[in-house]
Amino acid sequence: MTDDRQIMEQVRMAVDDCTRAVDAAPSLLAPILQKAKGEPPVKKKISTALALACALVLIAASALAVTALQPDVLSWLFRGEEAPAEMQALVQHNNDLQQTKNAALTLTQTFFDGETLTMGFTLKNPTGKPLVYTVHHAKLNGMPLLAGTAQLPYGNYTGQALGGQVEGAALPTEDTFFVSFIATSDTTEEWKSEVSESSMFHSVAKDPLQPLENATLSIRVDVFEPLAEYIPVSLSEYNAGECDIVTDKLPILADEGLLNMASLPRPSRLKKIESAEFFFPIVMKETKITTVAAAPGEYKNDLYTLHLDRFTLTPTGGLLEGRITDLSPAFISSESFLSVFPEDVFEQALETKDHALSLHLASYSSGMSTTPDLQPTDFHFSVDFRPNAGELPRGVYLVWLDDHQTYWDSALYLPLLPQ
Amino acid sequence: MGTIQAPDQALTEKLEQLVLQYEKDLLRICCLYLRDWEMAKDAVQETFLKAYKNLPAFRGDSNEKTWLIRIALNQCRDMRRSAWHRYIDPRMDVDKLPLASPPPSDDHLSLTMAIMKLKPKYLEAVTLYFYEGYTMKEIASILRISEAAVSQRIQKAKQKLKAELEGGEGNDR
Repeated sequence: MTDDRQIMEQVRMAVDDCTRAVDAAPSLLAPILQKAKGEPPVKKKISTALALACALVLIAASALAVTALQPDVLSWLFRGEEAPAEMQALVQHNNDLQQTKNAALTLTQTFFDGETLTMGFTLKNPTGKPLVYTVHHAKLNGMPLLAGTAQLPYGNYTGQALGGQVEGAALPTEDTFFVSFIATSDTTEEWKSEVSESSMFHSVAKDPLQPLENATLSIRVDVFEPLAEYIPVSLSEYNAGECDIVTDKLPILADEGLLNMASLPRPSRLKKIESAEFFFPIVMKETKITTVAAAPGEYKNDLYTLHLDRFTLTPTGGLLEGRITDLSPAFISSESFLSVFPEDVFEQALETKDHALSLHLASYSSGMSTTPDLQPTDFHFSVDFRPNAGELPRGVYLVWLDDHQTYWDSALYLPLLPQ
Repeated sequence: MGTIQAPDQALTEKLEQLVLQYEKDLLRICCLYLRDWEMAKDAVQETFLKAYKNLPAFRGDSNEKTWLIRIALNQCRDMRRSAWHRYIDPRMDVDKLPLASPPPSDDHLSLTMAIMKLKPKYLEAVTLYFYEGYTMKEIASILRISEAAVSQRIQKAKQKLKAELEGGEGNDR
């Protein structure tokens, strides 16, 4: 084996050669300064006691590979940025612990913004032995809840390992989860794995969430005992469900303790030992937060006609849904993607061709409808936006891009009005 | 929402200095970690914005670059854990990095891709030790782990990169 100095030289030459274009790329200084000027530095965000608690959490996280570093729902929603004051007033602090023989679930906080119910909870393994947990479903007053498309999927095919070891490193015995519910749901299809006990559900939205003074949130957690040794897999292997690369083992995404249970080739690697339903009383207050929206209808440009079904933005996120028809031959691609730019930064984005200035997406889905001979007829899409601590824009520009080019010149403007 | 105050000019100038000085280094690290140019730019912007917000509290007990790298690595970890990265973008190849002309050599490409495919804890060790040239003590401070753990990760990373480093076959990750 070559010595460290030689390795250093090899690594530097390889990485520098493969990232040479970084030096030639436009600087990010302008957009960084622009955002910084809109967000003044906070000299003292949290109290000393809380800062110490956070530091301890971070140290513990490093030592035990605990995944959750942001214990409160607003920190999770706004990715560590300071949430607007109107959001902070809506957080309900629950700290309600429920426990069974094999699982302890604490509902720490809930946050209802009038449309979306976000909750944070901590799941703990109280047994002292390695176990795997799945969240099978959540219900509100007995009605199944639909999670946002970017959340931890429901069904019991994503397992969380708590306790035990992988490659000699101890897994944490508890973890904190966050999930946002956007509606009650109808489950239209359940797909059951032929070779394991896991299920996946295809659910669609039924009714929007409404304020409820006295409601009951129920969460079903299934608990499994591992019957095989954990073996670590990479993120790509986990996403691809490449569990057949190992035999008689439980392939685990070690940094997060996740198992892709749907792809496990044999059910005998896990044994269900408990199915627990936890009930928590919650309050979903009547509330009105700042919302801007575009008028549904048709918007045209030289490439297409946009049939806008919905575009709303709040500090806690947004939704853009619609169809595109009258597709120009220059714009036909099932791989097309969308960037949405606030109007105050669009000119800069146009000049720098910088997509980083666009609104951040939480999830994106699209599909192309075609005639029987595969001619495209319309392109439908749905976009969820991440929470944004900045000012809501008065208008946005929609810019489409695909693998071949970005259609900057055909940007479509949508005015947004307060609701 | 709250009243927007005028930014502190000195802090803004400091931010500008940090960006000009360390932007490219952070971009390279984030590119390796996130395997995606657009996400790397996003991560670097978020890093500098977080640094700007915390500039008044920065005590200087580590140097500025070390401090920024720590923020950047946390940002990268956060982005990799996000649902967006998990469910929307599982692809991983060096084509998602900005292209240079002429293209990199095959050997360099192979080694860089092997580094990018490492698990985060080994990728961090390789990047900080072999690319950035930090000592194990400095890396322990950045990652908030023991020097023994740093040494273990470096040794493990070397084993995993053995094939590319020695030009052989049979990678074992």
